Amino acid sequence: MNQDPAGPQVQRRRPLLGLSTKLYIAIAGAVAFTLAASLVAWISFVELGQLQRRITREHIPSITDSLRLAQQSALIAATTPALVSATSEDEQRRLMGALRDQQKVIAGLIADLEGQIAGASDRGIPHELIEEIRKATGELAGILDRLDQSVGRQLALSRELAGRRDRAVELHRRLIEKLTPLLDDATMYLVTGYRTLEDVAPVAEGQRLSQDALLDYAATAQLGIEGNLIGGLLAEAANTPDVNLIAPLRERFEAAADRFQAALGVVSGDEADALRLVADGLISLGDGQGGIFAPRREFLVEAQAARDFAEQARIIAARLTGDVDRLVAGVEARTMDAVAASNRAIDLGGKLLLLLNGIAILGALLISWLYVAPQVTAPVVRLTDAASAFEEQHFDPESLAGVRKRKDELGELARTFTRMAGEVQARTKILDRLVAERTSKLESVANRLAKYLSPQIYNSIFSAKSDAPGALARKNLTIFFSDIEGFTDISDGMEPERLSFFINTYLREMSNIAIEHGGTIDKFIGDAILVFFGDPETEGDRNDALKCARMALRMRERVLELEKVWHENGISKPLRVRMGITTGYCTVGNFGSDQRLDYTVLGGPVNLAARLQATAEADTILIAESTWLLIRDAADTTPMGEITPKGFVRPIKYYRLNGLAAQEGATALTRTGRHVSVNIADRRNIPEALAELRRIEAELAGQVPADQNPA
Amino acid sequence: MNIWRTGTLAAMLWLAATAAHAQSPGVFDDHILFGQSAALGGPAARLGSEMRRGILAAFEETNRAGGVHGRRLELRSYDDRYEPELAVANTLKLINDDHVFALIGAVGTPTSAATEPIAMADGVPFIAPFTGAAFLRDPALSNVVNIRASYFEETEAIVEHLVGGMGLTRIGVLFQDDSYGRNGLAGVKQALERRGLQVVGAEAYMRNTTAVKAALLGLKRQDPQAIVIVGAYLPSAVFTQWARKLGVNAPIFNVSFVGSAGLAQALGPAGEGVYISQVVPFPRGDTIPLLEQYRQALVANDVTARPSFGSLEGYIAGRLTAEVLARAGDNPTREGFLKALVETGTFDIGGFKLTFGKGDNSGSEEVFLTVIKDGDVVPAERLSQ
Repeated sequence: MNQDPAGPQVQRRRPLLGLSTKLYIAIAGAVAFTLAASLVAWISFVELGQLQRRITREHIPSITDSLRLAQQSALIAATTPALVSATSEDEQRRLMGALRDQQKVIAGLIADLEGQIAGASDRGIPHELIEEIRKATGELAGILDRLDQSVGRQLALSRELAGRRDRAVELHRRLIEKLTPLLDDATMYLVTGYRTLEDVAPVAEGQRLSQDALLDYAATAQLGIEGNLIGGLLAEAANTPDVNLIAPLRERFEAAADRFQAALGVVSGDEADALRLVADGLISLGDGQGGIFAPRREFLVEAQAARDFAEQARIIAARLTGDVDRLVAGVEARTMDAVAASNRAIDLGGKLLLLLNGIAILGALLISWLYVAPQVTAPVVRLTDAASAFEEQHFDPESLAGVRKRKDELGELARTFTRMAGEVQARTKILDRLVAERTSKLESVANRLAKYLSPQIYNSIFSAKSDAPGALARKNLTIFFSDIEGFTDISDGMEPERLSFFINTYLREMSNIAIEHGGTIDKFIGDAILVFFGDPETEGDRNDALKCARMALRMRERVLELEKVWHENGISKPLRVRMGITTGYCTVGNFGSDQRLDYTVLGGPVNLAARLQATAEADTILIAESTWLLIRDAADTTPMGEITPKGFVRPIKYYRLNGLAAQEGATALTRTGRHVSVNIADRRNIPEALAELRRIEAELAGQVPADQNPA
Repeated sequence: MNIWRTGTLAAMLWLAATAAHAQSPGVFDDHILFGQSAALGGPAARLGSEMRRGILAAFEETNRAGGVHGRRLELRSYDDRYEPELAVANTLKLINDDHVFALIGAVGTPTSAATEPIAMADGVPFIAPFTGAAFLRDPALSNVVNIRASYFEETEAIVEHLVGGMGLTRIGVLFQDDSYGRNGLAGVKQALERRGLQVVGAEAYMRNTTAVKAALLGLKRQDPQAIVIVGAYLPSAVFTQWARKLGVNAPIFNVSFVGSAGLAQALGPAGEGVYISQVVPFPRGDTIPLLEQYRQALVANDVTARPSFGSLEGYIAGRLTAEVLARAGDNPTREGFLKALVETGTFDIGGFKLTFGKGDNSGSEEVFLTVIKDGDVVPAERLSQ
């Protein structure tokens, strides 16, 4: 865009409430509701965040701690029985250590929970519950300590007892091992009287079977029984789980031990000493604290105490678990509350959000419907419609009346558009008028011109075909010349009005005939007429010639017919025409210059036609040999000999045209289907045609059923 | 960080390598350790110590030849005094603390009854227990490797000799009052029942004592034509002496477990004509090359050592062990050892054939009969297979 810097700038003032401002307002309005909705959402999130924080920072740790508390107390409940049945000090230490660890963990958890109470943002864990739990754990600690001590004593006793029991078993075995051979030897002696292998002679029966001997034998046997009993009782005491059996076992033991000691008197010798040693060892195991009975009793009592402690611990642990359950339930309730609150918040927020979104959408719709549409889109539509109407050329300025009143860019646009449209319309009207004027002028010119041109030339000029001046063609044309014999004489003695009437009529009639037969009228020279066939259109040399001949004949006939008319109009002298026709190659086209063109034909045949015409007698048509050759089979002619016109080298044969045969192939009457065409070339054909028609009528009547025959 | 990674990797590899060195328990780079819990003290001391002597003779012979795949064979022995409780304690120690490759040369039925389950549970091979107890020949005990014929086979051979050979019908039995004795008694009863006979008297005596006199009196009352003793050498000797003193002259047959040398010694002159069934060939004989090999190995280990049935049995056990190990590959495992035993199947230990297979853990069923003459144990005649 080239702007002229020196030229005046047209200042355009931006309207105050411009289109952009209006749009911003509209959008701002729509956005406002969305913002409101977002605000609500944000508030909801904040609240949810608070609730969630409460849950994660307070409730969940509380629940976790509570569950761990429960877990620890369960562990304690599980570990305690194991402690009770610990079999070694190592195990005891290990289990006790585990229990103490678990207690420490519980103490830590309780402290945690107390901390949570302090920092709770809702009603929190009830303080009493924590106190209960703390009390329970304290009691548990006490019980576990006592249990530990009891188990310790148990283990010590158990270890001692184990040693003593093993010793008892060993001594018992040794005792039996010693007693069995004793009895065995005693039996041998009793039965055989031999004491040793070296004995030569057995002791006499009387001696060895004496009462004393038998009693000694019995005592020996007794030793075995009592020895077995002692050992058995000790083993039983060492293994019995029932503390109530200890006393009876001890009683029986002491009885057996007494009997044993008594029976021991029987045994003598080295064996006896060894035996006594073992026996003493065995018997001492039933004695007091260094024995088996008392410690076993103590052990069993202690075991029972331990079991009692364990049972107490179990009860406390159960209480603890109950407390923790209540704790967990409380926290759960608080969590449920929080969850319910958050659900409510979500619910409310959701509903509010939905509502606001609805309002936002509605608001947006209203804004666009009540504001944007009329303020922005309607005027634009109107403008667009106006433009379309303008395009279709029925723009009505009133349609933009409302838009024009606006104070913004669209108003300006409307005003500008209206002005522009008005200008365009006005200009268009002027132009249309000018064009119409020019066109009518042109038409009248053309009309006037037409008079001076043959129709073919006229069409040729006024049709799309454009011939460049100077485009000449050489064609085989049939040339026709005619004039009125003695016209000069006739015209001399005639009044101008009568002359003009006569010549006009003559020329008009002759032109019509020429046009009828498809000839191109070249020119009128006074009474002379020059017509040629074969240009601009041709039907072939022969047909052109035929047409020309037919035309000539018709002209002669017409002149005869016109004589009557002229007679009535005061032209008394008879009209005689003379015609000449030749066929030959001529040059045809626009001759002349840029300034002045004449569409005419030049060439030898033209001259010849003129010569022939001049040679012809009145009412005679002379044709040259060239023409005669073309039409001789259809024409009635008379040879006239030869002439050698001036300018021609050789003599030309010429003939007189008398008439033409009926048009070949042209029947007077043709009937096809329901149509009948009557072709009358000549007045003489009419009776013929009538006869034919009558014949056709009869034929057709015969085809119609009798009752419908109109005839 | 790369150094850390490499270092850790190297440490782990080293650990794995050292762990790999331990390989199978008892298998070390340069030796394989065997464990024995047997009566090395107490009344059956001779049995355990002879067994040990024989095993060591075989092990040292192998070691002198370069060991098995470059590893020496070593034996660690604990005394259990023929008492099951001690045997259990010893076995646990050998397996869990000493990590022996296998147990070998346990002595006694009650002790084996207590310790074999422990070995079975830990997958430890239980090689050549010095006992013919029937339960150890149970095909299900796939970790037990028996060298000797069982008591059933021994008692069958004895009964065959008595009934078939000597045409006797009244057989009495003295048996130790434990599973060993009862095993032997059952064997005699079964053998007699097969011949349509029954034991005329069976008397027990307490283990670890010589209180056989009441038993003798009981048997004497039945007037047996022959007496089979399933017991230890001292009670057997005392019984025999007293029997002869009381005029019981029935032939007396002992089973191999009695301890032949000890018996001969304890019996003295009363031992003349006392029979002992054996499960290994006469150690001073030359019937097979094994015996000369054995005697040389024995002397190579201990110049003062004298051939005995017990140590011959130990020697056979040691030789078998070495041969199975040789077939168990460079890195023998307990499973591999037992597998090699079963897969090889037949072993020819210097002419003494042992056959094993799936479900057959009894290597030999051969029983030999010996008799005491002039205070020496000499072959009587070869009996059943």
